[in-house]
Amino acid sequence: MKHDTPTVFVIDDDPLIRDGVRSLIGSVGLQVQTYESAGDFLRSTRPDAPACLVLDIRLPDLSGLDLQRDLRASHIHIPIIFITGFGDIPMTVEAMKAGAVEFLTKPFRGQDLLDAVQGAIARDRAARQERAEIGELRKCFDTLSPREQEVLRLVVTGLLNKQIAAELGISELTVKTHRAHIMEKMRAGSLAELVQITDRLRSLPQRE
Amino acid sequence: MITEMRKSGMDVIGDVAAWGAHFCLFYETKQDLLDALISYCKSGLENDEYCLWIVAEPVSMEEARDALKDAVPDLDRYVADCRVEMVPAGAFFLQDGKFDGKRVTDAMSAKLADVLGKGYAGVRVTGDTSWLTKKDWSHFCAVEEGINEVIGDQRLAILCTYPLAGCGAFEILDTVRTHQFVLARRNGSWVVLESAALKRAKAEIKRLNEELERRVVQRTSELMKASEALREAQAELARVARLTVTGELTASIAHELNQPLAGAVANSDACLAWLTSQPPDFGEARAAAERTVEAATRATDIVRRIRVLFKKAAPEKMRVNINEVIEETLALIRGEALRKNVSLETELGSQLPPVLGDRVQLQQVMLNLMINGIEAMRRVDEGARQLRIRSARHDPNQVLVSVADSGVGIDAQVIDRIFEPFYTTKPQGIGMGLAISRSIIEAHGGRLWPEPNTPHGASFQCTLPAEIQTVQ
Repeated sequence: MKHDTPTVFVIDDDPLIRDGVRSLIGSVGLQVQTYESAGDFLRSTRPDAPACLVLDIRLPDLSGLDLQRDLRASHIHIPIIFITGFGDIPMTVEAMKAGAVEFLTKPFRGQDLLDAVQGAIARDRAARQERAEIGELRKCFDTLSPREQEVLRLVVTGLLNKQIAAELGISELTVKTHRAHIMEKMRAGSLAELVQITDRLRSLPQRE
Repeated sequence: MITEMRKSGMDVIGDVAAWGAHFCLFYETKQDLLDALISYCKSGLENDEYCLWIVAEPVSMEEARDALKDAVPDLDRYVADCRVEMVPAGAFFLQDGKFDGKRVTDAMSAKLADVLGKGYAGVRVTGDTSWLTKKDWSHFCAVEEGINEVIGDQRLAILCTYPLAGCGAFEILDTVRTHQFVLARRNGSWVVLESAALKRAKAEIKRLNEELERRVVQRTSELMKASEALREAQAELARVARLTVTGELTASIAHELNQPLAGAVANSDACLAWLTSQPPDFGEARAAAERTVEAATRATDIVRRIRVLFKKAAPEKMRVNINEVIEETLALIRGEALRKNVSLETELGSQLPPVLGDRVQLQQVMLNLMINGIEAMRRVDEGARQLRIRSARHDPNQVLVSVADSGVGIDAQVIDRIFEPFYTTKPQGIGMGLAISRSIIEAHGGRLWPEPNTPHGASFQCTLPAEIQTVQ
């Protein structure tokens, strides 16, 4: 399931705030899904679309900070806007360090929340785009033979063909052939572009 | 000092000032003397006193007896009962024609001891001095003066009679000096002449009395002021203690209040957004407006509860549902409990009878006990912090509330001290919470005491008398 209508997830145990936030966000035409607890959210199926999470830091079972940690551990990338009754500094620092995009203290202005939501969705959209592109590059990379991958690693470190040949114990000509295949498979027009692509691939999270 | 008033039987002096009166009388005629002495003795007999009449010229023993018998018809019975004694002056004062003051005073003392031992109210003496000669005058004056020294604390009154004709100016002066006051016949009626010393003494007594009274009034007013100030200070202290407790709660109260405020702001912003959207969605706007009202109502309710808590009100006794008091208090500490990771458990008895009490004060006690419980668990593992509030019917006429924590418990060494004012185990505590709580509960006719909780922690139990309506 893939479409591009952004969705805002709201987790708050207070029905007045939950419904208020749902209504407020709905009024600007965004999809909203509300949850009473972090557990409900984790158990739900969520659309594969740009999204953000409006999260009360204090929740009955799993706290907002715990949920943030669990999502990170499961590589679920979703920008989080925290809302809290206490502007507790250590808590804020912890949340921001863990990648929260915004921290709003109750009572917050509606516009501030909408701005934060719009910002978070834009950010998620960009991140998703980035992840999609890198995914494509990864696919290209996966088409390389083991030897070609080896050559690629040495090429991007700036070694000359002659040096690579010596390193791998193969002829300079063979190196040249591998390079041509690599440029083609990785859809790189120049060495500079190839280096850039490799850099983006490195920024991919490690596979489990 | 004997201050009991005795009736003198003589109009002019009214009641003899008290036991211990030593006064004299100057007479001109036998009749005047008899009139005075008969009244004096009659009054003494009527008041259960022993009378000793020392008779001398010009009155004979027979005349004295007859005159007294005229006034006191059952005189014979008094004489038979040894209630009255009439002795001739010569026999009483003189021995072999000689006056010996010491013998006379000793005889008088012995008589007094003897008579008082028989249960009489006291002894009333009168003695005439017509037998007294110039030779013994100064010796006799010394005896009279000596009487003044000792008569003060005796159940004894002495009237000395002097013939005016036999007294020169010096004798009169001596007599006036040696007696507390003087009776004299002037223009046909008796008048009282006080000696200068007595006047001075009376004036001094009056002054001392006034001074004493003034001091008592002053001291009383000082005490009243002090006690009023003390009461005010205690009330203020109680209020400060309450504020301190509630001050500790400010953060959680702010949270309590911010919650509905956030709801109100979010919903009213949403309402405006739906109203201004193209096209406007009135259904959504209305729903948001309704939630705004609900949130604002919730905020108002919290403010009302806080105001009740901070109020400096006089105690007001009314029928109170203790479970409501507990619920109201729980609403205030819920945030604090959440913040300290304390789980709250309640087990409130159903159909509890109401108690008669001051709602605010009882809420203050509940607040104190709950906050203490939460505080007591600050050193306990987060998972094990549990505050359990129970209410139940204790016996037919009591309601029991217990607040039990799973904290560190109360050290056996301090358990006797925890209710003392200013005793605290908290770094920021002022140590008034439990002292005030106990005095509030006791003022309500209840009891507050600690018990160990199982497996660990402390449990504060309080009982309150139930207000049970009698079925007519």
